[in-house]
Amino acid sequence: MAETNSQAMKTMGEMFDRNEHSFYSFSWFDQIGWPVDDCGQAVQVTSPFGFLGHSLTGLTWSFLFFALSMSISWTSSADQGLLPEVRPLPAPSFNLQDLEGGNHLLGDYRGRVAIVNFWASWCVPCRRELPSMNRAWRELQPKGIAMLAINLGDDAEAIRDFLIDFPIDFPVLLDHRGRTSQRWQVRGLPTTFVLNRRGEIIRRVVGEREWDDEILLYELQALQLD
Amino acid sequence: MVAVAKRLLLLMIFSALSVALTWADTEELGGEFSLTDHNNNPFELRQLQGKLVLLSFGYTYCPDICPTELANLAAVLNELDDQAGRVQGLFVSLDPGRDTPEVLYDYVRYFNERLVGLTGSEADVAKVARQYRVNYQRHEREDGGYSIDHSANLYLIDGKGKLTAVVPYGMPPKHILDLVRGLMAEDGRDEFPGHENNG
Repeated sequence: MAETNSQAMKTMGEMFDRNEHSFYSFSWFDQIGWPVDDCGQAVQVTSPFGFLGHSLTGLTWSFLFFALSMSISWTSSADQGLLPEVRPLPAPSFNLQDLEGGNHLLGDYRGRVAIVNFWASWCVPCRRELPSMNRAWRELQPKGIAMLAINLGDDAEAIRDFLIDFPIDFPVLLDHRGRTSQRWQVRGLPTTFVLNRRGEIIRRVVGEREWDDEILLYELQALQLD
Repeated sequence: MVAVAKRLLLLMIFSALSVALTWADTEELGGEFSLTDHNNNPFELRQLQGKLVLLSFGYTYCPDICPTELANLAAVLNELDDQAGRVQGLFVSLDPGRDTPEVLYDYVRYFNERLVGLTGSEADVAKVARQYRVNYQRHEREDGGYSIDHSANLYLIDGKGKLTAVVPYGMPPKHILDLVRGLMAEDGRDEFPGHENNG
């Protein structure tokens, strides 16, 4: 433990010396993720551009990251539709409880297209989109498509209060410590993943959607037929 | 192909700009500051002497996408409930125009009941941001509103008010937790020198 902390302090110290910053508008770390060891510890906190040396300070990185993010968003906005495609990758497993204490394993949904939404009660766009998800659920459930709402951080009582104002008929799962959202690399809310029948993430939607939009419903139902 | 070329061109331009700005950025980080808390009371960092402070910056208004940074901080604070007297989470708003103490009061309650939201005048907030070298930038939106892009590190300040670590955005809560516990253990040794030899 002492060694781990010492290592953490050392790497933090290196980071501090360079004063490297991250910028919200930038999603670089979303895409590369942090290398994680068997204990779930990040083992690298220095920049992937460490070879450039100490001459690049935090302000520099912010500008670099901002430039990259702008260019990425320009290119991606032209390529991505309502449900942006991502390279199929197995979804990280989870075992989460719902509000009634029932356990839900991701593996239980294998063989069906699954829509996994991450949200929180304090997130205004999440509040806006959840009613449309519930309407979509009524259309999609009879087609065999699963839908899950994973709450990040709220306690069960706060969620129950929330659901009085915003009823959700599909399962609401609790990620109280944020471990699942971390493993799924959720950096902003709402984020919704669409999984194919093999349990691979094939769509990643950051930001709200009108989930009962006819085109979007059609796209989702088509995935079930793939 | 055109898109890739555009991205590379942008990267080169901003790299050149950034390198030019590099050497003006050498002042020491951290330090004492005064703001207003979410109960509308004056707040000074020195009030928290003896506690380990987890300081984050951001803003409450998220029209499109809400960052998860504060939820992660809350997860860390929740895990440290048994050490509540030794740790304090602070959230400084970079949007004092909208984030009044009342707005912050409602907002921070979602995350952790002991988390303190801080705001102040534009000048006061800018001063704290400069001290901790937090970069932020207002972007006007087509709908007449605005958003704020900002650097999103977590700052750990020891019981003497000294900045001891900067945790980059995106680190897992467990890693932050280990770091905090390590710092608290060190603080304990400083507080009671020779303690280890007495057992």
